[in-house]
Amino acid sequence: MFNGRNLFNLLIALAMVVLIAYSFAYNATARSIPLFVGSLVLIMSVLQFLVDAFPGMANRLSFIRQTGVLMEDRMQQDIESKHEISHETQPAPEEKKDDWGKVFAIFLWMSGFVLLLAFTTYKLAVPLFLFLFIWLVGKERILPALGIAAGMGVFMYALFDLLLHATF
Amino acid sequence: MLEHLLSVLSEILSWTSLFYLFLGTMLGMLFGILPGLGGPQVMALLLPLTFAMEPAHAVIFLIGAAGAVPTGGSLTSILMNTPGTGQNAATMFDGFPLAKQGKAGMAIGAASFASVLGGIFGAVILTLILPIGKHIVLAFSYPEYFMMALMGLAMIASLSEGALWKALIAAGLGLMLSFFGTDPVTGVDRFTFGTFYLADGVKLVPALIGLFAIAETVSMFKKKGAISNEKVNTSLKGVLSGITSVFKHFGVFLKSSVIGTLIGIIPGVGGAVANFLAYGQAAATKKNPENFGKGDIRGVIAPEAANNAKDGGALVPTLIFGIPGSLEMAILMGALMIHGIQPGPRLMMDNPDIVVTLIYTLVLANIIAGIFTLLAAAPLARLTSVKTTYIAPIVMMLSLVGAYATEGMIGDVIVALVFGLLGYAMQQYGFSRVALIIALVLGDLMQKSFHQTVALMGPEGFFVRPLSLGLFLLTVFILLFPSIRKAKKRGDAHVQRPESV
Repeated sequence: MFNGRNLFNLLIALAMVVLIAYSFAYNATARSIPLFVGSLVLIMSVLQFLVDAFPGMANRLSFIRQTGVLMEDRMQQDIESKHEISHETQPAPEEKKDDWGKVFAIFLWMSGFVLLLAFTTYKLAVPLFLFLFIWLVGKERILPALGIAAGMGVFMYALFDLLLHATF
Repeated sequence: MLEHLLSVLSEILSWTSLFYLFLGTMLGMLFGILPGLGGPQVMALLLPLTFAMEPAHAVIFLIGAAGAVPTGGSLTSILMNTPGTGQNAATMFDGFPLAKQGKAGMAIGAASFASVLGGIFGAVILTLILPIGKHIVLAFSYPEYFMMALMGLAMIASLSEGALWKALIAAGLGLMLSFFGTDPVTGVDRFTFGTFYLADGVKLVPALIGLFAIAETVSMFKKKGAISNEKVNTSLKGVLSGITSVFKHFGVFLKSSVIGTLIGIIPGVGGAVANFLAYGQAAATKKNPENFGKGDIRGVIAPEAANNAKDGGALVPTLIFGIPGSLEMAILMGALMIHGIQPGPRLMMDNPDIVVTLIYTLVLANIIAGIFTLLAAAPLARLTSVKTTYIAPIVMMLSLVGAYATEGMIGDVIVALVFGLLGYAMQQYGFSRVALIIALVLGDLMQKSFHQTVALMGPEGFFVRPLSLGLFLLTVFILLFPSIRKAKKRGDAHVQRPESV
C-alpha cells in the first residue's frame, strides 16, 4: 500500500493541509482563493490516494482514471505496438527502493555543487563537479571525465567572462 | 503593427541579431537531437543568458532556439528510431523504415523542407490573425480574462496525455504555488514561511529549470548507456527527391500545417499532440493506407509540418491574451517580463516591434534549421551515440549555473532543486508538469481578474456578460467531453455487437 506513488499523493495532500492552515492567518480576501483551490486539491489528492492504494475503489471512482481526450485508442495501440515511448498513462513499474536512493544521491551531489558554487567561483566548481560526478557517480574512466571537465570549464569561462561579462 | 515590418527586418538582419539567431538555432537543434531534452529545456537554460541582452536580441535568441528544436528532433527519429523530442515521435513510424531502406536522405529532405514550410505557414496565419486580435482584446474585460485562463487550464488537463484527474491536481498545485508571495490585491504576504526570498513568490525561471531540465537529466543519467544503439545510416542521397515529395503531396502538407497551427492555438497543448494528430489524419487516407508504417514519405511530411506550424499558432493566445499557447511560450513570457515588457493584451499596442520580431525570427529560425539539418545531419546524429553519463552531468551543471546566474541568489538554486525533485516524481507517477507550470504562470492573472470582477460587478459579473458566460460553458464542456466521448463510444460498441454475431 505504501509505495512511492501513494506517498507522493499523500505528500500533495499534506502540503495542501499546511497551506490551508496557513491561509487562515490572512484576511478574508487574501485567503479566499487559496482556501478554495487548496481544499479542492486536498480532496482530489485524497481520492487519488484511495484509488491508487485500494484498487477496489477504482471501480467506484472510475472517473479518476479518465484519460485526456486526445489519448485515443488508436494512438495508444500505435504507441504500444510499434515503439516503447514512455507516457504518463502507463502505470510506472514497481519502483525499486534503490532507484529513489540513486535519485537522492544525484540530488545530494547537485547540492554539493551548489554549495561549491556559492562559496567559491564557477571556474572551480564547474570542472570539479563534472570531473568527480562523471568519474565517481557515472563510473567512467578518469581521462574522459577530465577532458569533459576541462572542456566545459573553458566553455563556461568563454561564455560568462568573455562573452557576457557576467562573473559570479 | 504592419508598419513596423521594414524597420524590424533591418534590425534582424544586423550582424548582432543574426549572430544570436544563428546561435539560438544551433543550440535549439542540438537540444532537439538529444532525446529527453527539447524546447522547454533549451529555453529554460538559455533564459538566464539573455539577461545581459537587449530585449529584441533576447527574443531572437530564444525563439530561434524554440523554432529549431522540432527540426533537430526529426534527425534522430529518422536515423536512430529514437524521437529527439516528444513532438517528433510520430516521425519515427515511417522515417526509420525509410532510413532502413537506404532512403535516409529522402526522409531527411522531406522532414526538413516540410518543417520549414510548416513553420512559415504558422507564422503567416499568426500575421493574419494578429490585426484582428486588437479588436478581440478590446471586447475582453476582467471576467473574460478570468474565464479564458480557467478555460486554458481545463483544456490543458483535458488534452493531457495522462489522467485528467492528475492533470487537474497538477494544475491546482501550480495555482497554489502561484499564490506564494505578496498578494497583488490586498498586499498581504502569503506563504512566505518567514523568509524574505518568498515575498516575491515562486520564480518562473528556477521552477522551469527544475521541473524540466533537471528532472529530465536525472532520468537520463539513471538509464546509463548511449541514447541510441542503432547503426547510423549517414548517406544523404535523395535529399532532393525528399524536398520535391513535399510538393508532390502538398495536400497532406497543407492539412497537417492547419492541424498544427490549430493545436498550437489551444493553450498548453504541445507539439506531441500535433505530431500524432497530423500523422493520424494522413494515415487515414484512402490512397494506399497500408503503406503507412512501412516507409511512406507522407508519414514524415505530415508530422513534421504540424510540429513546426504549431509554434506560430502558440503565439496567438500568447500575444493576444497573455495566455501561453505552449510551454515554450510560457518561458518566452517570462523572458519578456524580465526585460520589462509586459506580455498580455497590451503587448501588440505598446510593443508592436517585439511582436513583428517574433514572427520574423520564427520564420528565419525554421529556414536556418532546415538548411543546417540537410548539411550537418551525419555528424549531429552521432551525438546520440554519446553516453548519457557524459551528457546528463553537463546539462545538470548548465541548469544549476543558469538558475544561480539569474540573480546570484542561492534561493533560486534551491527552488530549482526542489522543483527538480518534484518534476522527477511527477514524471514517475503520471502527473502533468505542463499543467503545473501553465497554472503557475496564469495564477496571477486569474487572481487579479477574479477580484477585480467581484469588486466592480459582483460575483454575477462572470455570468451576465455573454462572452464570459460562453467561455464558462465551454470550460464545463471541455472538462466533461472526455467522459461524454467515452460513454458514446461504449454506447456505439453496444449497438454494433448484436450485428456482428
